[in-house]
Amino acid sequence: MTETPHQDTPRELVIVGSGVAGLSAAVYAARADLEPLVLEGPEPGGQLTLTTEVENYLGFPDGIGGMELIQRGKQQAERFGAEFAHGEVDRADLKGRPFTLELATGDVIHTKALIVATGASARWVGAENESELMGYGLSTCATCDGAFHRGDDVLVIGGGDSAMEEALFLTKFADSVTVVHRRDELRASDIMARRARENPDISFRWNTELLEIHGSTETGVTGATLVSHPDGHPTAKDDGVSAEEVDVGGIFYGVGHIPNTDFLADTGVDRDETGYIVTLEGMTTETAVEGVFAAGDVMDPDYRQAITAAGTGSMAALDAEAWLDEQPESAVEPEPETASPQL
Amino acid sequence: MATDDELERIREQKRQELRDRVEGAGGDSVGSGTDNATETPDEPIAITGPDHFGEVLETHSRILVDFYADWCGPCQMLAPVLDRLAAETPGTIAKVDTEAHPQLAQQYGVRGLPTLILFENGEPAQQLVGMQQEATLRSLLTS
Repeated sequence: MTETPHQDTPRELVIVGSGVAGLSAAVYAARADLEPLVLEGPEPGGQLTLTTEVENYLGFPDGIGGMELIQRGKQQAERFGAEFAHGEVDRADLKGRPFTLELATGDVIHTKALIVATGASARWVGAENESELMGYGLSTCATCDGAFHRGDDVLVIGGGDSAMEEALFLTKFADSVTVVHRRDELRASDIMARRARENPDISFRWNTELLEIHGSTETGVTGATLVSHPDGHPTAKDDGVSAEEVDVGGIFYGVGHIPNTDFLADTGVDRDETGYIVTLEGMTTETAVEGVFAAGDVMDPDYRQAITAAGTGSMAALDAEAWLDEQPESAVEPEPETASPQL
Repeated sequence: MATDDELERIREQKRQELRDRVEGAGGDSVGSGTDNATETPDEPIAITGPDHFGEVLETHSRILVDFYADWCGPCQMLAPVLDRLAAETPGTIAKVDTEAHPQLAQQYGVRGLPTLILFENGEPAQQLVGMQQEATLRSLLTS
């Protein structure tokens, strides 16, 4: 705490991201005595902190709160010696050895191995005024902000599981909930779609998209302009689009997520066209850069479950441990003192 | 999904916490705001109501106020950051539970959580919605 005697000694392992993937990696890495440093990122705890109940995580037959799952995971990682620090990686130099991570604060961290578990953040739809009104009646977190909409009519944008979960949650507060979806069928799982369809307080606007949000930071959201087209995806159509203005007090986005990988530009880590990290072929978390591993939603465009993120998190720690063991220098070097974060 | 029973349980828990807080108001949990008028408390001031909030705004010419709720995950992640900043910086921080004091949330147009409002001379000067980086808040509190 009081001194940093080995300021230049690189860490064995840094885990970027503190969602369920990062935490699971931290538990495994800490138990392997890698003394991992977990950089918590701009949204500590990740997507689970924005959910209500997780009903499909093995071992919790009555469900468990997303926040509780995260807090328990963090305690578990800390118990084995994982270290947590606030910080967001701005830039990464993964060509030199050890790797260099430059934080948004300007601090620099060196590490031999790196696990990227930066997850994905809520996608915005690109409607007019959305950046002005985000947090003022426009929200990506129904569990956080739903209670401000008692008696309001609200819109939920999206057709997947997270949109259905938001819609169902919002019926506790709002007078009416309207799901706005750009196609004519839901992408959500059968169980979630059925729950939403059977709820009398939820109605659906098919083949419809949000074009503009009305309101101000003083008044909050007061309404929206919706556009429809019989064939769906109205904002992509030139003809036959009808527009309508609706009065609503709140709008909730549930239109999916985009992986947080901007900081990996020009690092040699392969990403697909949508930004997801591409791991090597086969069952591994290795990336195109040796010593860099990826876990959780940041490398998983398909499953994106809490339990798969925990799974790939543990894999990344095991892969990193095996890789570190193979490195000649780590065999001859004395145990580095890593009691203090090198921030 | 949280059931109505769970929401009621949370509310009851919150009412109990509020009662405990009010009863313990003479102690150090909320007393530091008025006892040491000229000093900056080293932990966030828990606002107990509109009157208390008014007093706190009068006492502290520059204060960062965290509008939060216990069910809000990002608020819970922000809480330890604010605790640390209250202890480590010369700035003053207060916390308003928007479930216990919806009128305060409404008065200041809070519609998203967490919302942080920087008050200068009793007036809102800057508003931040959502999780914030520690460095951003630190510079706000030390400037």
